[in-house]
Amino acid sequence: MIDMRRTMSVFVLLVVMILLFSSLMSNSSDFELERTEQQLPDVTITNLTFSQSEPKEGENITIFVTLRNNESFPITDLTIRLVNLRLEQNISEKQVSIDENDEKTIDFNWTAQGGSNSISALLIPEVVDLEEPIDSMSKEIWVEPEPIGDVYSPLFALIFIFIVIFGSVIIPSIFAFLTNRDPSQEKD
Amino acid sequence: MKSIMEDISEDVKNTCLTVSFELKKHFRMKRMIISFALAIGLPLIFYIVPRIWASFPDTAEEFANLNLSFVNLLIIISGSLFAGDSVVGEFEEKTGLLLFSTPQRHSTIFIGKYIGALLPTLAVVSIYYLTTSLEIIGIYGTGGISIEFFKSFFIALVYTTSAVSLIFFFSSILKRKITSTLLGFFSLMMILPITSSVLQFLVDVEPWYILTYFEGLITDVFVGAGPIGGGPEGQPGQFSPDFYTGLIVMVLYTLILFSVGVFMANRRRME
Repeated sequence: MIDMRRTMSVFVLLVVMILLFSSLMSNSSDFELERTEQQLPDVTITNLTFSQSEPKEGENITIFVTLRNNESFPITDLTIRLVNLRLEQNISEKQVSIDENDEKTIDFNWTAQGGSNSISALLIPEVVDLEEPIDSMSKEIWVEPEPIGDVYSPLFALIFIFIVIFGSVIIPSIFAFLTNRDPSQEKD
Repeated sequence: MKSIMEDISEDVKNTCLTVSFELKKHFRMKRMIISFALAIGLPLIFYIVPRIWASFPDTAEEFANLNLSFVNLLIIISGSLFAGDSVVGEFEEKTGLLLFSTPQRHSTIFIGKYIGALLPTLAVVSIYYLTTSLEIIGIYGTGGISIEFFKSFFIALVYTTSAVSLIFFFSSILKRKITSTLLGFFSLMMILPITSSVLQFLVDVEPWYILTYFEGLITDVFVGAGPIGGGPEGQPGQFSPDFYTGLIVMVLYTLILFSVGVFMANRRRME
C-alpha cells in the first residue's frame, strides 16, 4: 500500500514537473519572439531591377534595389547585400539609412557574367546575433555569353581525324611499296 | 607481285569488311538498340517532365545547356559499350585464332575494329543531338537552333573520338574484356575528372593535359566558359578550359591513343 502511494506521488510529481517545464518553455519562447520582433525594423525590399534586360557578358550594368521603411522612425544601420546565387558570389554590399515611412533606391554596379544568373538582394539589419536577412528578393537575368571559339575549328578537327584514321588504312601498303617489299609477305 | 593500287584497294575492302562485321556484331548483341534507345529517351525526359509538371527555360540556349549536359555520360556509356571489348575480345575468347589466320593485314583488322566502334558511338551522339534539336524546334521554333548548337555538336563528336580512342587503347593492352570496359568507363567517369579536380583545387595547377577537363566545352558554348565548379563546397575554381587548347588536346588524344592502340594490338600474340 505504501509502495502504491509512493509510486503515485512520484508519478504526480513527474507530471507536475513536466507541466511546469512546458509552461516555462512556452513563456520563454513567447518572450524571445516578442524581444526579436521588437528589435527587427519593419523594412522591406519592394523592387529589384536591372538597367538592361538583355545584357551581354562583360557589360557593366546597374542593379537597383528599392527599400521601404514602414516604421515611424528613421533607420540608420541597414546592410544591403547583393549575391549571385548561381556562382555563390557576393557582388557587393552597402550600408544604408532610410527615413521614416520613406522609400529609397540603392544602385549597385555589376559586371554581367554569361549565362543564367540569379541575383538576390538581402536586407540585413545590424541586430545582435541575427544571421538571417529580414527580407530578400531574387530575380533571374539571362546574360548573353561572349561567344567562345568558332564552329569551323571543331569541324576541321573532325575532318582531320577522319582523314588520319581512314588514311592509316593505306599507310602499310604505301610503306611496303616504298621499301620495295611484297605486301603479300606482310599479311601475317 | 601486286601493284600498289591493288594492295590499297584490298586493304580498304578488308577494312570495310571488318567494319561491317563489327557493326553487325553490335547490332546482334543489341548494343545498338540499347544505346540508340538511350539517345532518344534521355533528351525526351527534358521535354516530357517540364511539359507535364513545370515550365521550359526562357531561352533555347538554357534548354540546350540543360539537356546536353548529359551527353558526356552517353558518350562514355556507348564508347565503353562499343570499344570496350573490340580488341581484347578476340584474344580472350580466342576468336582471334580464326580471324588472324585470314590473309588480311592485321592493322586493317584493328583499324576496322576502331572504326566499327567509333561509327555507332558517333551515331548515338548524333541521334541525341537530333532529338534535342527537334525538341528545341518544337518549343522555341527554328530560331532556337543557333550556331552554338552546331558548335556544341562538333565538339561533342571530337570528344567522342578521343573517348573511343582511350577505351580502344585499354582494349588493346588489357587481357580481359570486363577490365578494359570498366577501366575505360571509370577513367572517363571518375579517375580523370577526380585527378583534374585535385590538380585544380588542391595543387592550383591547370590540368589542360587531362581529356575530361575539356568535356564541359560541349555546353560552355551556350553559357560561356566560366570557372569550373566542383571545388570544396561546390565553389568554382580559378581555371576555365580554353576552346582551342581543348580541341588540340582532344585531337592529340584521339590520334596518339588510336595509333598506340593499333600498334600494341598488332604486336599482341595469342596465348
